[in-house]
Amino acid sequence: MPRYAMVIDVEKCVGCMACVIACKKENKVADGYFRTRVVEEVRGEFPNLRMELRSELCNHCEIAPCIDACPTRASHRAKDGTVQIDHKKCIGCKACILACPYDARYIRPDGTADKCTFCQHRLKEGKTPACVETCLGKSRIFGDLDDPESEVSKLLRTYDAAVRLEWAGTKPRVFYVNKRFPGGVLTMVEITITGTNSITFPHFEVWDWRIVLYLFLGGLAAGTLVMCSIANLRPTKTVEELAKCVRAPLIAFVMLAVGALFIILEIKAPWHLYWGYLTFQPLSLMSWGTWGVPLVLFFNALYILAVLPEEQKHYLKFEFLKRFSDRLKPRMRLIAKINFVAGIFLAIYTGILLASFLAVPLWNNATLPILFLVSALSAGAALIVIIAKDVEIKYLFTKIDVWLIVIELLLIPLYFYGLYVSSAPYKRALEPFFSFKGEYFIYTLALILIFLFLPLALRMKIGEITEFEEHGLPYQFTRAQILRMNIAAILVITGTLILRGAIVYAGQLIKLSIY
Amino acid sequence: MKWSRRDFLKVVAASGGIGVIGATQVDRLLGLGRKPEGKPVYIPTVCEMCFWRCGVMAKVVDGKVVKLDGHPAHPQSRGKLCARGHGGIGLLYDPDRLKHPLIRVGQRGEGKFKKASWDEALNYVAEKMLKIKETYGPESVALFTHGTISTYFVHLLWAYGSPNLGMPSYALCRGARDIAFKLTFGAPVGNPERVDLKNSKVIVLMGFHIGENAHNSMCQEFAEAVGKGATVIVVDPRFSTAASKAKYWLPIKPATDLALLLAWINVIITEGLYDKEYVAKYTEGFDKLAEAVKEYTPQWAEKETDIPVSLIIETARIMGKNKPSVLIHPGRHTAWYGDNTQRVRAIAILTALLGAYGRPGGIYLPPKNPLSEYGFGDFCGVPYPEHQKPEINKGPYPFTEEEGVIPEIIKATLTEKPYPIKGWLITGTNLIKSTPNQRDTIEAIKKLDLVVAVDMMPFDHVLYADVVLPECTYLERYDDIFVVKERSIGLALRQPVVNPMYDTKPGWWIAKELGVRLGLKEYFPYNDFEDFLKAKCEALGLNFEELKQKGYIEIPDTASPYIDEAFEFKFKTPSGKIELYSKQLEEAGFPSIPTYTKHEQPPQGYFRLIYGRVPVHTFSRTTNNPSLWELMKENAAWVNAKVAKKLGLKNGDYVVLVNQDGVKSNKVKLKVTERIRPDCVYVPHGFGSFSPMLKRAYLNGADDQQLITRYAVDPISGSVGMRVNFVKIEKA
Repeated sequence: MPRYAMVIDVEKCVGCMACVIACKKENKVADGYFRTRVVEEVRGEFPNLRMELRSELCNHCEIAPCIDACPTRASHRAKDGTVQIDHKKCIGCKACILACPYDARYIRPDGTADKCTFCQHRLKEGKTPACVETCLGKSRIFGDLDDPESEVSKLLRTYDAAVRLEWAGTKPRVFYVNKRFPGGVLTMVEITITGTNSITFPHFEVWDWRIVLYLFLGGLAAGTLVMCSIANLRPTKTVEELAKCVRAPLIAFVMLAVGALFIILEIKAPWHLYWGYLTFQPLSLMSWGTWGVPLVLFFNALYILAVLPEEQKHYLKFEFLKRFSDRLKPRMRLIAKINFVAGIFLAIYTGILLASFLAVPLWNNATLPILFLVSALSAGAALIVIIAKDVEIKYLFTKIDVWLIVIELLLIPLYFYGLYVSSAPYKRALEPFFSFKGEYFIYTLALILIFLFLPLALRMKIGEITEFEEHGLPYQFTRAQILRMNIAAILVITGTLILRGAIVYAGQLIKLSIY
Repeated sequence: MKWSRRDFLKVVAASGGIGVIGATQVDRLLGLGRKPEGKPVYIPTVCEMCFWRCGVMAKVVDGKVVKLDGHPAHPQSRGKLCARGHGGIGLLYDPDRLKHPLIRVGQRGEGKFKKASWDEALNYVAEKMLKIKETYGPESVALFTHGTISTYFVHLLWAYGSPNLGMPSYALCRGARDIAFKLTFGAPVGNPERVDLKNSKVIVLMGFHIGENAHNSMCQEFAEAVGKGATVIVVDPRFSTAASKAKYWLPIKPATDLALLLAWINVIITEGLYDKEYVAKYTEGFDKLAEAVKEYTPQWAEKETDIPVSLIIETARIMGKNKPSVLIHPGRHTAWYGDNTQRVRAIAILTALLGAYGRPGGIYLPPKNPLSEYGFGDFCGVPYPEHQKPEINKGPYPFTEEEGVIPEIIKATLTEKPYPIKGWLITGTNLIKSTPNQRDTIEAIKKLDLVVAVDMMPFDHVLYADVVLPECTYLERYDDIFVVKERSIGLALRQPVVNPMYDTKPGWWIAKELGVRLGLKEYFPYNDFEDFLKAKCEALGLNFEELKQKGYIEIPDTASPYIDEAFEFKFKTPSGKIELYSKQLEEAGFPSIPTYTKHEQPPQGYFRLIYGRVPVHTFSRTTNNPSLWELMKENAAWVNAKVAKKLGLKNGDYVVLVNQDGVKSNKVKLKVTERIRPDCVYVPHGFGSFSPMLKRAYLNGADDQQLITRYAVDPISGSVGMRVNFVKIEKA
């Protein structure tokens, strides 16, 4: 099989834009979308200037992050080595868009992801891609890397070719030859691009509040499950005592189910979702979610049935559910253990989902999943404090939450510091939080709120603990005490929401690519 | 809904299939009602998205044009098309197209029309034209025209008896260049320009921004030359795309180009870098030239142009060293200042000194033309009537051509001197956007009894028309056979690739129907255009069917690009030689050798308005084209970064440009850039349409032409210099 590649001789690009539109017509690309673009990059100061004109398109990477990100194998490597999309399998989850550091992809009107195909249909007819055929400057050269006599092979032998964002390690198959200025030290001053998609330019507009709510509700449900199973697994408890904790798993279930609805609202071709269940893609976090969320919901349901007290069993409308519930009751500890694991998985999954995207420097970071895990657990503990009636439980989770908040408050600066000491795009990813500019002020504000709410909650909780340690636990809390506890808990939960919202939105502002 | 047997069978097959194929195919089966896509048909034709006229292969599926590609054999496309060529589909399927004949019901300029039948509309026009002929004489009807439709309407105008024709392509564009080349070499440089780019070792571009003006084959050859390592010298106040390919970018002070050219000539002569043998053999007046340019030293030019002496000398030496393969591009839009002809003359003289005319890498010679000329006049065989009154369109300029000086016609319409002009036919040109001083144009329109617009789109000028006649697009019609004069002679045919949409008609049909109603039937002796095309093919010794099938046929053995030293070569000038010293000019009372004239520079706080093109649009004609609009929706005014900083303006801010006469532009986005000199503002031409019928282009960006209220006419050729306006920047 051939190894198709494109070489772009930037010196010969005259900026005519014929490729941009030829591609659109050839591939019937819908209005407002582009599969290829022309970038005009100017360096220097008047009158000492230089400018590079360069067409960009899908790089058909050898190590393709978009393929890894795809939960359904819709994005796949074709036999000819190119990266292709099987539109009937694409669920429109947009993970590939966030994984691609080259802004090559967009969502077309039918909800599926789309990008350059190297004009696969033309290659089959023995033609070159439409952009190559019409390139006035013959700046685009196409051929087979395995054929040593092909023009691309010859060019790559002769000249020092570059690829875009080489350090991203994706091994692109689109090469750039600049015979005149092989390297450059001047700083870029101006960039003009013809043929951009609004989903990736000037910054990502891929995921919105629906994902924020999904991550928030998922995290909160996860934390609640973990905390609830901790409560249930305390050795001193009898089965009857445990049964009092039924509301927590029920709330977790509802929250996760609602969260899952939000992600279904966010994916653009949900009617293809069944493809997600015909495969499992271990490298795709979307695939983990596709399988994981229903599984967690399943175990969560078992949990609810197992802890359902006798007097509430009349809520179960079906006889078989009652019988099932009775049979689950003795296995409650095992189910609680499973839910502990499921909760940890879910909490950390929400962070890894973001961390898996190569093109988003703010997310693409190993601290983020731990931060999300801790903040989820902390929010879960806070929620238990609100919903629990038992004085002891409230006190226990107040204590647990204190430690979780402390860890979270340590992790956030650690997370930022890790980005700060990293390479340029990662450092720049912090810009929204620390630039204090008008358009970014909301992110600075988010950070201020987080660092206001969490310490405040911490202070209140420590106050409560000190009070109880001095006076002993009362038989019942006063209304004022409960109000104080709830306020502290709400502060924690709000902090979690702000954290996720700020990170989801701010992350999409700064891309790995330099535009 | 009727069900055919086949549909029924499809459904049966499909429902049977569901069980077998399973859910995976549900999506495909949902497309059941859709017919399978038909087989594509490829039809060759000729593009009209600009004046370059590339060969096109149109891919048609189920009666719809789905793709346009470059004709592989046509020398102007060579298998490739530019963005606009590909975007031709956007013109064809633009929902804003003129769809029916229209007759005005509101005031001129309001754009209120009623739908009319062709009969109604044509009768209306004919009646008015006959009345004007009767009252004022036929000379009182003027024609403004551009593009292929000119063939039929110029014929109509001349048959009607008026000489008053104005083509924007002459005085507002390349006129000065053609006159200068004719004066010097005895022949214009041609369309496409006879530039041997692919063999050039040095390419000099003066204000010519190839790449941004995407002349297809010229771009191809330019890129080829750049790829082969040609030294590019770009003289432009703006760092154009071409400048980015240049070894030398000379950001010249606007309006001083002639100083640089004269200094180059000076260096080349004083350093003996010219082609002595060539100059001796083929040119006349060298000694006089050498004497005349003595004063134009590089030191003098530095002060005029802002270009350092060292660079002037260095670039001149590079040209001298690489002679004769040096192309000093004569440009195309040369209507800059009041001395356009002299400036291009200097280019021609420099070309001659380097021995580059008729030599590889310079300017190649026109192909030998064995074909007989055969036009509309020949087909009908009836001579045009003599006009009784003097022609207005040539103005007082001794070297003007038939195509005319548009502002002269407008001036005559306004002043009614030497005689009134009462009817305007406007075909294929957006007169408002192509002509300087819009206020004059609009005032002149008020004097008219008849304004007719024949066009495909409701451009700005259409708002002022009494009658609008919708022409179909180039993809829907035949046109006269194109004689392609590239390195060889060839013939190309534009033919319909789909049927005309709506109630639109080809230009030849409109002209003929109007002609018949004007009593000029004998000038249009055809029913179908194929009648004419077949007759022409016969006269040219060609097979019409073969031309239809191939789209382009090259006439063999017609290329003779270079001067054959073995034979005596005669130039078509009075002396038979290249006239460095022009006796013709001297006799007409002009300097026989270009002399430098100083042009006014912008006053404090003002910038010189310069304008140009973008690769994805053709003048103001494509800004509404959905396929091209998508690539560039509005223009941006370029302002030097340091100037912007001083004025407190940021990239992307909207501003208003106000010219020296207080005319304000539409709001326009600012492009703050290092790529332009601090003393000028650059505005891509053709935007800011004020025709609300153009839903996409309407008031998008600024119209440079609106700000060009002043112009300086070149007294030799009538070329209308338009880079003489100054603007200041105000916040929008």
